[in-house]
This record gives sequence, C-alpha cells and structure tokens, in this order.
Amino acid sequence: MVLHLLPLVLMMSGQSPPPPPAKAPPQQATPAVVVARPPQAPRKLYNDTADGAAQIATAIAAAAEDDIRVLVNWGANDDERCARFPQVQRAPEISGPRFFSDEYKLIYVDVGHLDKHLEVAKAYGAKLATGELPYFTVLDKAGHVLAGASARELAGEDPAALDPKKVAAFLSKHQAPAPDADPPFKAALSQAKKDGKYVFLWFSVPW
Amino acid sequence: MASKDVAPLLAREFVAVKVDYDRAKGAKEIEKLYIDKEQGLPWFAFLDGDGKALTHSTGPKGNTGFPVQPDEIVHFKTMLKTVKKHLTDQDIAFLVTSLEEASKKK
Repeated sequence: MVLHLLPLVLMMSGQSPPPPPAKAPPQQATPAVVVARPPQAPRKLYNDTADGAAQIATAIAAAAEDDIRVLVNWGANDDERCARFPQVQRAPEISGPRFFSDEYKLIYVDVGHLDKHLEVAKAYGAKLATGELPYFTVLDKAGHVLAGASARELAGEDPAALDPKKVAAFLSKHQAPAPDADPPFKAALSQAKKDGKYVFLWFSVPW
Repeated sequence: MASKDVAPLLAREFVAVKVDYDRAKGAKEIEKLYIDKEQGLPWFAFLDGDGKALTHSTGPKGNTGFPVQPDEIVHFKTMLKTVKKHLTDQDIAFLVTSLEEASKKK
C-alpha cells in the first residue's frame, strides 16, 4: 500500500528530485542581462541507446501506480512524422483533455530503420512497417495490449501528418475508466483499524 | 539511502491510500470531509481508523504538499510526532533527514 506514496518515498530516498511546490510562487521579471549559452543539440525524442523493454517495464510500473494506461510510441528520430509528434501533442484536441498528463504514461521506443527492438515490438503486437511510423500501442497497468494503431490509420487528409482529432479519439477510446475513490478509501480505514495503524490519505494527480 | 529504507518505516505506521483528485469518482466528496477550500496538490492527512483527521499537510504557511522547504519539513515532522504510535523518535529523525537530504538535491 505504501507504493501509493511512491513519489514521496522516492523523494525521501533521494531517487527523485522534489517536485514543484503545490502553489507556484509569483514569477519574477526576466533579468535584463542575458547570458549567452553555447548551442545545444536538440533532445532526441527517441532514446537510441535505451533498452526498449526496460522503458516499457518502467512505464507500466508508473501507470500501475496511478491506475492509468501506457502509450508506447514506436518510431525513429529521423522519421519526419515521428519527429512532428510533439506538435500533435500540443493540438487543442490532445492538450485539452490532458491525455499525457492525466491518462497515459507516454514513452518513445526507438525502432531505428525497422532494425531495432523488433522482438519487443512483436511481443506487444506492434505492426511496424515502412511509412507507417509512428505506431502506437496502448497497454493497461498490467502490461496487456489493449489497442494499436499506425500513423497511416491516424493520418488526416494529408497522409504525411497525424490528425489530432483521430489521435484524440483513439486515446479517448482506450483510456482507463475513472477510478472510484470510495472503495480503496474505506478499505484503508478498515485495514488501519484492524492493524492499529493510521491512514495516510494522499490527494494527488498522475502528473 | 534507498526507498527500501523509507517505505517500511512509513508502512509501520500507516496504511496509505492515494486519491486521484482529478480522475477519481468521489474524490471531491472525500476531500470535503477534511478541507473546506482547495489547498493545492498534493495534499495529505493522517486519519485514524474511524476516518477522523488527526493532522494534515496544511501548515502555518499553507499546504506543504511535498515537504521540501525547512518549514515544510518541520511541519511534516510535527505531523509524524502527532500520530506516532509505532515509529520511534529515531525513525522520525531518519525520515526527516531523508527529506532534508532530498531537498538539498533540488
């Protein structure tokens, strides 16, 4: 049960940095002096050295903590449609319902030129094909595959671009049902009474 | 330190229940049992087995949320001392030190 306090436990154990304060302090005006910084390479969307299976396992554990889903985005950094996915995320249809803060743990698994993580993709039923990346797989909190869709299936009138409306519909259809707070709350009270303990009642959100 | 050191200590004193404030049905109703206005998230309380709140994360300066600042950590320590039944003073000192060390890494 203490796993429900995982963020706090991780923070206390030094494995996770403290999150931002509950209420953000007022923003200060930007200082007049701007320090020039050397140009940095843009962050790669798909970590080309990561272990995809481990990435997925970590995401499943995090999703289970919040009782939400995992969205695996199988793709490659040099694929234009894959590289443009962050723009799709910012579309109102996607950002409005807060799919990626509240409903899904999103991970990017690099499949290179269809020459990486193919066994992992196969294990999760991802149907990878040239010209159809990114491919999306929805997993439940136990790691079971619930759905999959290729970029071709989620493209709009322009086949080279994902249609935010179609992506939003896909995400909405497969998101986890809203949990019921009452049964676990009552169960915790009952367990605490039985064990002579207290209840650590923690209000939070997946983000 | 590893979380395996922190988690068992908390489990000795508490049964934890996390309520997804945004998504869970009935979350707001449970919140209303304990607070009358929004406090920011995360927010937490220690309850007895009858559901009575003995102390909560709103300290003198507001909701401590994740205790990071010195006064927030002090409030968390006070909370633990308020309810301690199974935790020793040494356990509480360990938990407080864990928070202090974590806050230094910020």
